[in-house]
Amino acid sequence: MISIKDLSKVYGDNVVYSHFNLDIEEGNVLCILGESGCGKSTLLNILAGLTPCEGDIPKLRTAYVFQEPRLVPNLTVLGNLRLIGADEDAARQMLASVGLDGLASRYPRSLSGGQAQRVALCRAFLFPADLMLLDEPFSSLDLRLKISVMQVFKRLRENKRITALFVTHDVDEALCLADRIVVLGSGGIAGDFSNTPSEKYGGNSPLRERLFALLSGN
Amino acid sequence: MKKYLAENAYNLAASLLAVVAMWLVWIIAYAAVGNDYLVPSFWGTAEEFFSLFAQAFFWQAFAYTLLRTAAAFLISFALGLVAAALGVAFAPFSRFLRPIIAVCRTLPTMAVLLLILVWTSPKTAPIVVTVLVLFPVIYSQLTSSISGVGGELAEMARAYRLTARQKLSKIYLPQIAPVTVAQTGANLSFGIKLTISAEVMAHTYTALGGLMSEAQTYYNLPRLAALTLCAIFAGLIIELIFRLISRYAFAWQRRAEA
Repeated sequence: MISIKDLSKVYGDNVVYSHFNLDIEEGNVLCILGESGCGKSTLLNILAGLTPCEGDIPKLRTAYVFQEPRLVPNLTVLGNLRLIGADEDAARQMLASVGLDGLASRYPRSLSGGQAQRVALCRAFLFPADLMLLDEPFSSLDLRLKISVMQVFKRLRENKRITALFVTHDVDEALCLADRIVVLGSGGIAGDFSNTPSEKYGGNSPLRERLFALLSGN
Repeated sequence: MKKYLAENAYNLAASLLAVVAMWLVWIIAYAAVGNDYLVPSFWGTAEEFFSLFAQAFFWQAFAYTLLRTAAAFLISFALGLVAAALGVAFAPFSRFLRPIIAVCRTLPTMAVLLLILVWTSPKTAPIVVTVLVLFPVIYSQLTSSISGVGGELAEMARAYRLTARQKLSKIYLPQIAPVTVAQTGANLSFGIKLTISAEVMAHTYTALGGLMSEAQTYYNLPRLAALTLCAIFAGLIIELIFRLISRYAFAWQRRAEA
């Protein structure tokens, strides 16, 4: 269990977190759902050690998938994976598992958005991390690509047990990928739900309606 | 080559037109003035230009001027790189450097040369003067390049706990390399002009500037113009070489893969 205790974070007059607590079960994907500006990305940055805060925050080795791929442009795809310490065979196998084995010697500038984000996911899965952090990793992709890259994430997850914290404002992404969904509101946690990741993106369910209601403030 | 010519036909034609225009201005000026001691003839200059290549003293002087320029550039670049890296990493250092850079930029260089000649020699003074001018230019360029390396990449590097050595060798230096290489050509070309100017003032022996000073003393304008053309061509060729290196040496910048 990864436990965040008594987290407080203030930006100027803006209180982002005040004595916030959250437990993340190992091996699970926890999704933080909330509107823009509610502090989702701040939480990820705190856990990654990029932003200081007050509270009892575990020191973790984290792998981070950003909204943009953030691949090093002067390194090939393979070079980007090796940069974080992966050995060549493991990196090539990972690329093959996501259908990118032909792109190992390509540079990021020649990749499409979906391909680049898949490489970023491979990088995160290859990094020996206690916790994987994903900051709206599919938001910059169009619907078709988003579904394709989400399938890649699910496939990679089948091969490697990970503990992940992923933030999004997209309810359907949360329902597709998360084992547990926590809704963040202005006062803290507005809802906490167990979920079985759905096979299909979209589609109606009681939980979906409940989440939309929470997000719209009802 | 054919593809390059086809794609850049318009630009090449415009450049050629500019060269022809400058040549015409020279021809017309010579015809209008009609005095070899004021405006040398194009053909006389051309004859002098090609005759220089057969002279050992010319090549010796040219080589020494280039060596002085190269030495000044390397010193300026080394200082500029260290100063820029420290300045970006430590804001107080950058603030400390600011007045020093401002002084270097605003120094009346040729006047300072006279002081430097007292402390050094005609062989060394051109190097010192060129460093005084190039260092603040290179420092500013490198500071801008290093600061321009995306904050997002820096954040990714921190998130994945990359070491300082990895950040420097795999991210920062390769990222600044293309623009730095392109700027090197321009800086070297500028450095040649500065070195020659200082050599002229310092009467540096075995130097292009020294030969120019001598040509001016004896009113040998065709030689003076020919030596000037040598300096111009040297600068242009160096700029072109570095521009080509910058364009073709960094495959990662090109979008389409072969």
